[in-house]
Amino acid sequence: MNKFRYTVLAGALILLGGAGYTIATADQPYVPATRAIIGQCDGASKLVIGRIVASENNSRPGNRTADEALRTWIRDVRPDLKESDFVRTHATDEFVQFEKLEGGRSVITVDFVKNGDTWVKSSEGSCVKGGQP
Amino acid sequence: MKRFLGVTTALLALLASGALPSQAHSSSTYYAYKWKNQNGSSKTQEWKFTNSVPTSGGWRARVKDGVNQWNSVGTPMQWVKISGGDYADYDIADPQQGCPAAGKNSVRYGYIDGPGNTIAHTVICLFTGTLQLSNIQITIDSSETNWNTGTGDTPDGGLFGCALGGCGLDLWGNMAHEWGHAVGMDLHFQMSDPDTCSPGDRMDFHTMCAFYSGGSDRERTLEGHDSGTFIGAYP
Repeated sequence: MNKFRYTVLAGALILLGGAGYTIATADQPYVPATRAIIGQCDGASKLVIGRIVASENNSRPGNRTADEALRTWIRDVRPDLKESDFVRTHATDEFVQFEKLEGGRSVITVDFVKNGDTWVKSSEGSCVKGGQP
Repeated sequence: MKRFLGVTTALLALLASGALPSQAHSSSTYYAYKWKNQNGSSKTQEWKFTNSVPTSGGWRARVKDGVNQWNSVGTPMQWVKISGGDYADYDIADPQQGCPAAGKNSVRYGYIDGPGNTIAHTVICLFTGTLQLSNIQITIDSSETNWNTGTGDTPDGGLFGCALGGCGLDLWGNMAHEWGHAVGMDLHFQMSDPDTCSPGDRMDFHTMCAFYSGGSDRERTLEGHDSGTFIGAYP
């Protein structure tokens, strides 16, 4: 039964591919720039992926905009940075990404997702300065 | 177009091997990074606690419960807790810190961002210019005051729900989630994805959805797309 289902699925994909269709589904999420940063680092890279508590159980006031969320993150987690360090490089109704550029290369990315009416950090990526590996 | 043909080719290859799980998202999409083969066909990785994690009260047991969910799937990607004491605490999310030596993996308890918002996170380090994982570190946010470190029901606020602050955060379920990142899943299932995180009751979400609803115990065990996508990444 399963093999039959897969065969039908694969056949359908081949037909659609041949017809030149592209399909946007929930299985093809927007890929944050945290992935792209690895090619821009002189050395190793690291990513931080957070688990976020849902808005109805969030004990702190929400950030109403992605820009406000960026400011909050800088204040709470990265006070060594400034909001003006970042440029907005991607934005949808539910996802906003900022990058810090140095010499035209991205050295830090951070992205935020909408959680109900508020915005929270989803993930960040950065080039590692020194250290292993 | 190239990407599309790539997906088709991959599906055909999986058909030939008979390895496609019945419930799985694209492993190539969700598992951009993987552990390299360090021990024959096994991808076994070692880990320890740092000395910041409380030694009583169920903290360590729930972390182990979380990793056991992934080990029990039975893929070649296995985690082994090694003996010999804890690591001295370190935080590789600290921007002043580099990544430790490859293979130094740990779970710690420390500050992330204060109460609320991020309640746990996983840091992934990659070898220079590659998609290969070199080490990971999971952090439990010590600023949260309502972790349920037991195995019983996590408080859900009763009739009042979470509105009055009566909800707990389930450590077991959230550790299962973080270990999912540690095995290489760097994306969450999307909140708009009807197979995993939407629509309906958040208490029915898959373990690898981005948001955690206070009071939920559901994430303690893996759902079909959690394990199926993992199997696809480590056949």
